[in-house]
Amino acid sequence: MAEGYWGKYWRRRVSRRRVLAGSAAVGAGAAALVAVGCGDDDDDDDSAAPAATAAATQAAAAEATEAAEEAAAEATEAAEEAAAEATEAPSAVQRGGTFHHHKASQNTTLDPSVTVTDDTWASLTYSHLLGFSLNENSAWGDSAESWEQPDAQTLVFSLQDGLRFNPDAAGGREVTSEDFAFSFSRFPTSLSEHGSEVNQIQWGWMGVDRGASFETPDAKTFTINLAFPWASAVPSLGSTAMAVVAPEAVEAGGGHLKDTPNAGAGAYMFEDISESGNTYVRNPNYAGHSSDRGRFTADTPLIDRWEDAIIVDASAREARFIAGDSDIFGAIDKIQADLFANESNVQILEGVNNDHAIMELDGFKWAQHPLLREAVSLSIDWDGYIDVVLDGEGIRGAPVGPAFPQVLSQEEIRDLQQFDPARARQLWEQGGGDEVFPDGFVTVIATFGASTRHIEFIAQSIEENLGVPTRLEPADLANYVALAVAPAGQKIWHYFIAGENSLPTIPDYNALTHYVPNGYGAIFGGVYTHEHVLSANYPPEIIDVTHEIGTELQSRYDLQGATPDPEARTEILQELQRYIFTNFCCVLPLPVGSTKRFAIGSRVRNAPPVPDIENAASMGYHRTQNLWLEG
Amino acid sequence: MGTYIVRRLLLIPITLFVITIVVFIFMRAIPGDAGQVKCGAAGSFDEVCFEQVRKELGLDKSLFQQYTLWLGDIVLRGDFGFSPISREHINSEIGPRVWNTGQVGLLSIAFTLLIGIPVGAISAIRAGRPSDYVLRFFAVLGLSVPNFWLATLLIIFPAVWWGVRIAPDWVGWEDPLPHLQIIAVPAFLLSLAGGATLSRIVRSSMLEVLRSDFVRTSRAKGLRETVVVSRHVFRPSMIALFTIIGLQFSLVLGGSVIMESIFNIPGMGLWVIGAVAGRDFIVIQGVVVFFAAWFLVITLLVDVMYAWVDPRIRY
Amino acid sequence: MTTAQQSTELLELQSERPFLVRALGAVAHFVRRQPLGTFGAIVIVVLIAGSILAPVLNTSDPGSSIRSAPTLGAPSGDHWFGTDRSKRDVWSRVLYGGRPTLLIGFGAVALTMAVGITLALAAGFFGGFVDLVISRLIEIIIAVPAILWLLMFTTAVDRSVQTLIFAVAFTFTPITIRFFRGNVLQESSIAYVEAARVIGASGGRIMFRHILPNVAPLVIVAASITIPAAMLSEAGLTFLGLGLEPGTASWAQDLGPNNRSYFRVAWWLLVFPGAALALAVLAFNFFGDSMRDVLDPRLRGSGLI
Repeated sequence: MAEGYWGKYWRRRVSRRRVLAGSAAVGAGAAALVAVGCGDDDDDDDSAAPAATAAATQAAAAEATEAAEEAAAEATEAAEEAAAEATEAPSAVQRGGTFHHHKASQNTTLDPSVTVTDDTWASLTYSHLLGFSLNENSAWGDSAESWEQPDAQTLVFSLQDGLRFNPDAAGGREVTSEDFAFSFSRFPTSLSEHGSEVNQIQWGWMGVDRGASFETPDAKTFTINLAFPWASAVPSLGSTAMAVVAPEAVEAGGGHLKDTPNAGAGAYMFEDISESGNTYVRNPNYAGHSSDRGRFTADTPLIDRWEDAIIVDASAREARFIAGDSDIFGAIDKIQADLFANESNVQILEGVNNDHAIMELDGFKWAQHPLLREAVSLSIDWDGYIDVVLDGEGIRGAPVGPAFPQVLSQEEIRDLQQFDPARARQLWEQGGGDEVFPDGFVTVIATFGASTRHIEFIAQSIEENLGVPTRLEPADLANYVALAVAPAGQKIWHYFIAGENSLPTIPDYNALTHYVPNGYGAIFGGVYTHEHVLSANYPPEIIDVTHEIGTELQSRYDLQGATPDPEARTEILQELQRYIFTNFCCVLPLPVGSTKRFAIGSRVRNAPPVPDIENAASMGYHRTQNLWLEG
Repeated sequence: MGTYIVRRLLLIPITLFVITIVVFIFMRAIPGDAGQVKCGAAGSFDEVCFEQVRKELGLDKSLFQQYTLWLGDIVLRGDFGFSPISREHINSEIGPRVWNTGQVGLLSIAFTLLIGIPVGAISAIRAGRPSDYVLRFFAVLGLSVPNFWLATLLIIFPAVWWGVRIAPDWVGWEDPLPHLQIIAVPAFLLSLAGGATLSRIVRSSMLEVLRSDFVRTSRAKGLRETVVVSRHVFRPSMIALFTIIGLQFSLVLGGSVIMESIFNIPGMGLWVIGAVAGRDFIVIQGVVVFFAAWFLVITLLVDVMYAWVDPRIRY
Repeated sequence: MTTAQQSTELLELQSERPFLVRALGAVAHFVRRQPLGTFGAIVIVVLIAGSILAPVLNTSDPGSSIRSAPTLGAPSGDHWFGTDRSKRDVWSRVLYGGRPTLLIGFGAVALTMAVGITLALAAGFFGGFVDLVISRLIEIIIAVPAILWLLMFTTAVDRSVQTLIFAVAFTFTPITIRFFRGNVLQESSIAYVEAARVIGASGGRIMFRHILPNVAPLVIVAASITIPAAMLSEAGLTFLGLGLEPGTASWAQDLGPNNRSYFRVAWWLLVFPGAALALAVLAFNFFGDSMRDVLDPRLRGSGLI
């Protein structure tokens, strides 16, 4: 397995395995994270929730106990050591060069407020108030030099000096707080202008459409008044959607930016957009950062150019990477990591996995049938899934992301989410499953090159243990999302299996947005709180039950967001997880891999650790400006 | 001959007209439209958004209106329309893409001839001997092995073994050598089936001539075998080439869909695959009509050439 | 083989021996004269038998992951063709995977033969307007590359085996019509048809009683060279992700994205489904060539498709 079967005879190159021992660093980082979460009880206990978001707000070091500080420092040290070891102590940082990137298809929009599928261009050409590191559980100032939170609903940012748009945007003038106010205020407009309900998750927490306001006392000070307290406000500001855009460009574009490149103040700007890919060059107006924590540089980013080639075929992408023509490949599984380990052009980073995967049940079809929902959950061989799909290297998923300290213990999840074919059949019979679903199930399967093994496994498991067949409805990229978010009563599928999609762009990694009506819960799961949405599409008998479940989920979710005390918040979050597990409505968490592996080219230096690396919002490689290329 | 050409020329627009109707009906029967795709790709199923995109693209008009507007633009102004996905006019994109597909196509036709003629000729001259059987075996093999399977091997293994990419990124003629390398591999794979077919045709038509009376006569009057073959057998058999070249043109168009998506060649095939995924009806309609027109004109040319080369053929 | 030999052999075959003996004699003759065709026939029979008898040939459910099996396990006593990335038995997948491809090959060709011959008879016999309409129809279908027709069918209708059979048959019908139209014309000009016409036989009677039986042997030739082409066009489409429904065990599916990343460690994933597909196509091509030699002396060795 470790050696290709032909490799030993054919390989001419000397294989050097360059695996960063990043896991050590991440382990230490995780320890720091837990320490921050637990040790953070020296806050005032004022119930009015000032410092509501204390744990997540200020940089962890500022608020955390000394223990946490130490742990964080250790983590950084360990990471540095590991990086140093892996890169064989490079002599000096080199400037220049072109970073070669690839992707499967051209982006569908150029407006950062609507993008959900491709974050490279948005990260390169736009700048944001801040980024949020998952590994360090702390925020990094980007456009914001510093910030403070005088009370639970107010955030005050002071912007850096010398922030300017690129020459194509607003003539390259200085960026002011007014521009941020404009950029954030336009979210609800961008929703109706070719916007997206899914995307709303990225900014809905601010409540821009529910009473939030922005103040600009002077050109360098920007104040956000949230509509309601939100514990994850600071991490959420790292999202790629939270970009500052030039109002002039929006106006010129007819109220949106979907066809307008270079409307931002990022470190790079588009040089060319074509069918074969995009190229980026430095933004000459980019001033750099005062941050001394790494990832940013004092002046311009170290790499001159980026090339993002569109390579349609998956094997061709892999060949490009192996041959050293791509500097980044992406997340890989254990088997692929074994394959890549022998390649000289590859280094593999390892760390904790922050994935979250779900199986959605369409509330319209399932809400009235609690027994059948439970039967389906009981018919899935969860441990088999870990064994077969995740190569035995997985953990049971919970409604809260695995990197979030409030997640339920594995033992408890196993107890709540069981595999019991006999009981499944019994419940199915009892609930009259064959009458309710006489034609079996339909699910949607992607045909655009993504692996579909996990979906095939679940369909097979349900068929074997419940006797209900599933038809896999193929969908290409275009149809896939459209089928997923089809309005209530018009969905063709009974269940829908989705990998994590929001976490790379939203660092609020508790993942609950997938379950609640204000997030994917409504779009996918069909549980609503708004009466009007229900009555428009649902028959009355379904309204009551989905409304009840939806309201329960949303109120508990809102409550945890507005709860300042970490312990109290943990309590609420854990109860919410139990509620979701025992209710089976209408989203079921799937097991996820316990280790994340990420393949990058061997000449890349200063790559951020896993899982930060893949998350644009968490200062991933796209936003790491001290990234450089050796040789 | 003249009236024949005129009649064929008159039939082309009629055929194309029917094709536009059929394709239009197919496109409108596909579930989903560009509106859902544009909005849906961003995760929205909002009627306001749909309406707006549909209005932009004219999808809100009646089917009959949409059809006549589309056809009218093509016929009156030569305008194939606007692609909502790439945000470009199809006319401005069609040129480079036809050229990219065309380069691969022409090279693959060259390969077809280079493979088919010698293999067929040797096979005919040595008919019934082991070398004939070996060559014919490989000809059938060339027809049988799926080219996407070979393409996968060519993409993966050189990269794994030697760190070499058989198909590097598309560069264009600014870098002639890498560019030739990029188009040579798909062109070669595309030519395998055509080359195999051609070799079989060349073999049989040469055999036919070899058994004819005038060859016997030329042998009888003492000409050397090489002269007999090269002058009296080979040349008349080459008439078959015109058929195969015509056929190869249409094979290239079809084959380009798979080859271009594997080798990442920004031609017509890759365009159509992307357009199917994006429900970019205007592009699919345009490509189909363009392909059909291309095919009809080429077959007409081939038939005319055929008649010109072989005086026995009269229409 | 000279023409004289051929005619004596044909005479022998037509002698007054019992049917079974004559049939066996014909087979023996075929085996003796056409070794490659015989090889093709045997491979075809084996592949068909394998896919029909799959359940009793040491297989497991092709979609089912075997928890105890290794991931990407090499061929072994338990798993003759190894296992794939999801611990599924490749032997089972290859046997079951032949079903859709062979079904589409045979189904599409049966359909295209039925439609093609009917239209060719109509065109060849009635001529004039009917012929004109049919030849326009041919041109319309043939002017658009087959793969575009196929992907229009699968995206507009669905990806079921039935739709694929219909779509593939649709793209092959023009060639079939052309092939048979020439032969029908040739038959129509032969004296016995003239004679039938003279004695006042109706058009339908001449077509079905006189011309069809004489054209019928060519069906085997046309079918056996069309089946491999039909299978390849289905495979290409499925490989692109626009053919058979994902999740169906099929040869082309198993050469697609789910397995391609592992070809370089697991040669069995590359070789077995690929070889099964190539072998099936090869066998039909060999068989078709031989049948043409036997049944259609005019086309002997021409390689025309």
